[in-house]
Amino acid sequence: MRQKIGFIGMMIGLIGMLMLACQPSVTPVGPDLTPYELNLPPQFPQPESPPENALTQQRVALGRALFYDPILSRDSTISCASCHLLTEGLADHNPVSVGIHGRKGFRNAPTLLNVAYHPYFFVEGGSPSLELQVLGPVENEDEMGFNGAELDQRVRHHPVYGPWAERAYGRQMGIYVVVRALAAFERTLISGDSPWDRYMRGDSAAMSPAAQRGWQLFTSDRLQCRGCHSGLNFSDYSFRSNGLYADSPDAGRHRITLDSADLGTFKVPSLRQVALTWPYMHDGSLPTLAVVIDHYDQGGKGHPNQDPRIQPLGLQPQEKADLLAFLQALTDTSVAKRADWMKP
Amino acid sequence: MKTRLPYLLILVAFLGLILNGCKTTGCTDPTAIDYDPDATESGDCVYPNLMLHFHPLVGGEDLNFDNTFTIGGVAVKFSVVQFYVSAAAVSGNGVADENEDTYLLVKAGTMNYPVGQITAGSKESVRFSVGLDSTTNHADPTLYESDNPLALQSPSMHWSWDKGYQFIKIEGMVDTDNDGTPDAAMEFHIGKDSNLRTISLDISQSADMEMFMVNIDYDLAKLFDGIDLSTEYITHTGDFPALATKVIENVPGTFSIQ
Repeated sequence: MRQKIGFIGMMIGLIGMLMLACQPSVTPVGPDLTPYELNLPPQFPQPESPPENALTQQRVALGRALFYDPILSRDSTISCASCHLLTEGLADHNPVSVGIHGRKGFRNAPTLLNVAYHPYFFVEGGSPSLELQVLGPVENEDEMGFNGAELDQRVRHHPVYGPWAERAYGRQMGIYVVVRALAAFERTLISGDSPWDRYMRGDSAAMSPAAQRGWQLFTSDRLQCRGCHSGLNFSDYSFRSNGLYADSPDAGRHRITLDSADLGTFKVPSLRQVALTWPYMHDGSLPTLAVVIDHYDQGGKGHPNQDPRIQPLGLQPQEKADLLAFLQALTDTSVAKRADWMKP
Repeated sequence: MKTRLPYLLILVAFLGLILNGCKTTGCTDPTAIDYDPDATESGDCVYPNLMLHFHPLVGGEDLNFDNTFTIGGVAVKFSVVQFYVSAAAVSGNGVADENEDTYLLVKAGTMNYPVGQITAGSKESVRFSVGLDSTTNHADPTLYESDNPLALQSPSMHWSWDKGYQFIKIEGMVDTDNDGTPDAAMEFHIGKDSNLRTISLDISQSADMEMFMVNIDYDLAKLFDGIDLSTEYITHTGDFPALATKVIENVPGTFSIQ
């Protein structure tokens, strides 16, 4: 009898152990934070990311997918890439952005190349981060015509983005993830392989003689272009009037500060890819670089807040041609071929 | 001995009862509704909770989105009426109950807004701000959970190009050609730090129940007092600051105790 009991007890114990052993072990899987290593051109500084949005491979990939996804617009027809095309200098050829239903805004889309280095966004400088900038086009009636809260609801249970948000950020998909993933992808849009870049790194044959003369003019005290279009991104990000109008219909930075000294002033744009991003100015009103050069040559229209550097220049035709050649030397042709920036 | 024992027992029982009766558990916080001055041991306390009741009017009539109203002789219809309220506080007897971290998005369709716990006692005034303090006004709206009033809203209460909230959003239609029928879209989107306004109203109520409700009217006819809505009916603050200022100057006079 005792032996039987002992045997039964042992069998129960063994079966119990087997049952426990066959329980699948449930370990929670956190996000995949494998870092994204930026391949920076020589002398380009490491761009900053906010602490909760460090660059990771998952985040950049998710952001890239979202960049090309018209799901961000109310009727799902317009994506970021609709106005920021790789082949058009990461901008487009429309004077002003065209949104859903063919609606037209009142501002020209700027290039996104090297946008990671900008301290603030939009021509008024009102958006403090790439994350918050996303909300601008999303909620603009004339662009994506949508709404942040509604976009949040739309993506919350997305079959692909849902799990991807968990992998990239360890949280549910929503507007928090959308703006951060897009910002992460945009921070990787860095390139410095234009003829000018190579010339500055010591390749004296990288720019044509005309372009080299144009560069000398650009940096001269006589023209003072470099005064505002400075640094490796060709902008000091200050707010200026270049005298495009005597009386600017667009109030520019004044929309934010309500300071009369800011009427008609706009953030100095980067000149990267400038030969590809026609037409020019905040409203796309100048069609070609030659017209832009003429504008500066004439010394602006005399707006009350016009920057004092904007003066008649007395440029000779050869000098204008040289400046044009230099501006064209700012085109980095590798950008349009970046497979890692194209639609996935 | 036999006859004294029962008396002893009764005495002991009596003493026991008296001793136990002197030790009472109750609320020992004088700011609570159920404060028991005789309590010797601290127990659970009950406190009043402030509820703000915001009642929308137009010229004294109840607001609704179906009717056409008249403000300053101009026919008006409303479709969106909402505003942020912050820093709600009540005070009485020299004590102020602040609720710094409570932010409300008051919408015309909802009247009751819980604010938070306050102290018991008589209250003499209620105070609140229309709009947001500067720090909150420039915070990242994507950080809030979707049910938080400061999260992104539909319709939007945030200017995505200017990192700030719309304190007041009023939309609808106005009659621009004086035929009695509203014909043009009206948009009052008013914000910016300098447009924050604080309202203080006298009350005479005692907070002695769990819900302490303060009933506040807001009259849109007073908000647009002195504004000709047939000619001035669109401002997004940055593009027409003077009209936004006219509205903001009317904000304190818009609110009154029912």
